[in-house]
Amino acid sequence: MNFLTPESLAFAATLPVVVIFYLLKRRRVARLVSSTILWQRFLNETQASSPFQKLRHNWLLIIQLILLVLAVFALTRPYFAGKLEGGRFIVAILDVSASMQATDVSPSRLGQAKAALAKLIDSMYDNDRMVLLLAGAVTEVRQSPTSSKPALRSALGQVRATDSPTRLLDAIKLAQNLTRNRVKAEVHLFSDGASPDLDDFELQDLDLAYHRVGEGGDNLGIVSLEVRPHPEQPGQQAVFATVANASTNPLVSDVSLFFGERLVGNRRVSVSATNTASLVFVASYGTNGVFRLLLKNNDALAVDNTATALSLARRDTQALLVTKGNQFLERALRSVPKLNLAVAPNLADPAPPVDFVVLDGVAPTTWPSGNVLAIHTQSTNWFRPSGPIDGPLIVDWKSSHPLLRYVNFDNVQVAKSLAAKLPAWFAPLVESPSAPLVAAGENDGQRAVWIGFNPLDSTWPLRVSFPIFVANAAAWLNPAARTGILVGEPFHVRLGNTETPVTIQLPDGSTRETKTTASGELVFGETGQQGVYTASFGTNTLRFCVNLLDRDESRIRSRESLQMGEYGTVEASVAVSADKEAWRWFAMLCLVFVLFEWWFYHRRTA
Amino acid sequence: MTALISPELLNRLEQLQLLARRRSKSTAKGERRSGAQGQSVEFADYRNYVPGDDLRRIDWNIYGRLDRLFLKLYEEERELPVTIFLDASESMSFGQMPKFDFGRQVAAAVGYVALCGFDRVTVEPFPLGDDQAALAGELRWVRGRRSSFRFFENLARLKAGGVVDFNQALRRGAMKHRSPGVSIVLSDFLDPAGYEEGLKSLAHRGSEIHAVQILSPEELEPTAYGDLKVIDSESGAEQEVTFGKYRLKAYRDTVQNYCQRLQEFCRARGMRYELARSDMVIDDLLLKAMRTGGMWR
Repeated sequence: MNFLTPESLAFAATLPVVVIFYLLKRRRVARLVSSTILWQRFLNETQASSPFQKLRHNWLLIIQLILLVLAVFALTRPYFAGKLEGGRFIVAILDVSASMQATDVSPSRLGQAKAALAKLIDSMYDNDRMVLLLAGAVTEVRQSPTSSKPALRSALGQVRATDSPTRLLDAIKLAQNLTRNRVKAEVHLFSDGASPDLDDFELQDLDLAYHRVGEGGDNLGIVSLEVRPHPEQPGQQAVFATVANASTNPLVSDVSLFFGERLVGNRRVSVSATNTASLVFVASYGTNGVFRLLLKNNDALAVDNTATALSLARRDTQALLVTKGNQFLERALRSVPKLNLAVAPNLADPAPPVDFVVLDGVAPTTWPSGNVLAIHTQSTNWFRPSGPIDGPLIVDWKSSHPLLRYVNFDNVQVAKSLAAKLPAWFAPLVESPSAPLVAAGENDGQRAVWIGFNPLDSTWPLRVSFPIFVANAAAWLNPAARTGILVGEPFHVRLGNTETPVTIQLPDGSTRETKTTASGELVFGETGQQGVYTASFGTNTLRFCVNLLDRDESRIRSRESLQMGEYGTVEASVAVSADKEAWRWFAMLCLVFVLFEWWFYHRRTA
Repeated sequence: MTALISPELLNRLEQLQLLARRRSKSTAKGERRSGAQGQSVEFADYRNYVPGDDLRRIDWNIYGRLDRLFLKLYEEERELPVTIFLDASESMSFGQMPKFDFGRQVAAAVGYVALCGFDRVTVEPFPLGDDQAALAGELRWVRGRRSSFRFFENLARLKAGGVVDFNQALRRGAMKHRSPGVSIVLSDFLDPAGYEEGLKSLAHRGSEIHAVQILSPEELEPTAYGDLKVIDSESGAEQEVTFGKYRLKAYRDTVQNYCQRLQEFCRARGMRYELARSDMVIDDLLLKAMRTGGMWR
């Protein structure tokens, strides 16, 4: 056996000190008695005039010497030389999503998860290593692999819950990559399991322990909030909201809508169990401001009780139609509400002061720099048509894309179309067996929609889906109107044409300095907080709202198992299965022993 | 009447009679039956007349029937010497209610009962201080109920103090009082040299011995705990003791064994033994314990 700090043996010098204490006589209280005969049995020692006494057998002395020897021995940090086995590699995934703020357990789910993780850290051996991943909307490596418990505890201590939805898949995939080809690898997931994205993941041989936190409770949450022009009253805007009840009890709550600090409306909403309720508020167009919807109930999760949305601007969308004449298209564009349409036979200015340009069968000499709806253009900046296709059959379309919302191609026939090889950033939306017919994409901040055929060569303009598509395209190509995003999503907006420094103020008051790209596009990804963000550039300001609006997060019932892929299921382990170091217990016993010794001494003399 | 004993108790004590198992061997006349023959109303025996005998004691009725001269003998009634050995050492002054005060009360009660029974009472305090020699003389050979007041006064003037050798004190007392009678020893019997020799020497004189051991409550249940330096009140010897509540039982056992040993010693030699707490009601000792113990009736 060897010692790490043999110099600590110097503490053994305290042993004689203890013995000296026992050599010294205790001061005694003089007591007159009638006779010492009755005390003979209790006589300790004979009278001695010196301050020292003979060292006698004394259990207290022996106990104290043993304790001291053990303490000195521990201070020398003894160790046995031997072969050390390779330590474990532990990946700890801590869910920091909004639902972890729920207070159905004390102090909160995150607090409980942190406490459980702290226990796991405490139980690590010296040769174990741990990585700490935080899983919110994005996965963050909070602590790279280390054996240092102080570093891990410090990293854990700084963890705060975000307002973002849970995306555990990225974190688990990262953990899988980190633990690949490692022998003793463990993945510990501390979460409430409110993640919708695990179905696509195959567990394979990943050693995943799911430490479930939270129980579940009553929660009413706002799951959607949208401001739109009122469909029936032109001068008004309508605020649509959906409130979901995630619990199994019917819940009632007051819902208030504020515009700035002004109360717009107050409703009492009653939501049956596991159901939703819709609310519509009507507000007039006013100055720029923020609508704030507030649920006034004291449920387990507070973060989903508020949502914000910007008031619509009174400004109309400006569009330029470059066409040689297409009544169907022009009428469809003019029917889009709040859209001012200008029509021109050709594109004179490559950067017209409009929100988007519609090129209908026209190939301009200079491609417009803004957003474009290109219909049956012979050549574009990005691709050249390879040749015409006759009578292409529409076999598939992506109805999930915002452009194709409520758009149906069931009874649309196309006589002929252009075939083109699309660049990678273009996503085909409507496909024929040989080539895409409609595609859309975004490149360097510029959005483009391409229709390969002339609508006049098809039955499409006669179908109701055509004006809907045009309206969808008008909305999609005018993304400046998009001022609300979900927590964790990156916010991007074009602010001009040059690189501009931008200061962004977060809802908590802190600011971030960033700048746009060379083409004037601002991309801001630090949207982990719910609330209103303000971007200042030059003398202008731009506000955007970040909301949770996530039904899975509002559904705060903690899951007892995680469904992984088709077959895998991870059951929640209640306790952290970890080897615990026992030295603390022995230290406690040592303390108890000392206390007992103290009591024993006082019992003798009291 | 006196500070030592209340008038009520005195009234009750007057009704008691000191018991003696043996006949008195005293030479002085009294009211106790004795082995000697003399003048009294109690017939004892006949014997033949020898010239020189008192003609008044010839039983003429017998002469008339048998025609022989017989002398009628009567029992002589003698007094009973009652000696009270009162421990007046320093250790007896110990206690909240000093043992010596209690001892004096018992001595006064015993003396009063004896005086009422026309017995001769002697109080032998030991050790005897120089200033108390005259007082001790006053307490010797006290007779008659009339002397009781003076007896109480003298008793009240006694003081405890000094060191005593218990055995030697009793041995000396036994030699001093040759005629055997009733001896009452009032002491705590806490002498390092023991008590056996002294009691034995009294017993050898033929005395009927009553040992009353008086202990204070502090001795029976000590209240001082901790690291102590106990000082012997007589010898001044210091002893170091570590005493706690948990050792109280052991101490009680020690005291009980000590008393038990004394009691067995007394019983083996025909002595009577009583244990008294110095704070007890004296009536309980005198009228109950000592009565049932055969001291008086």
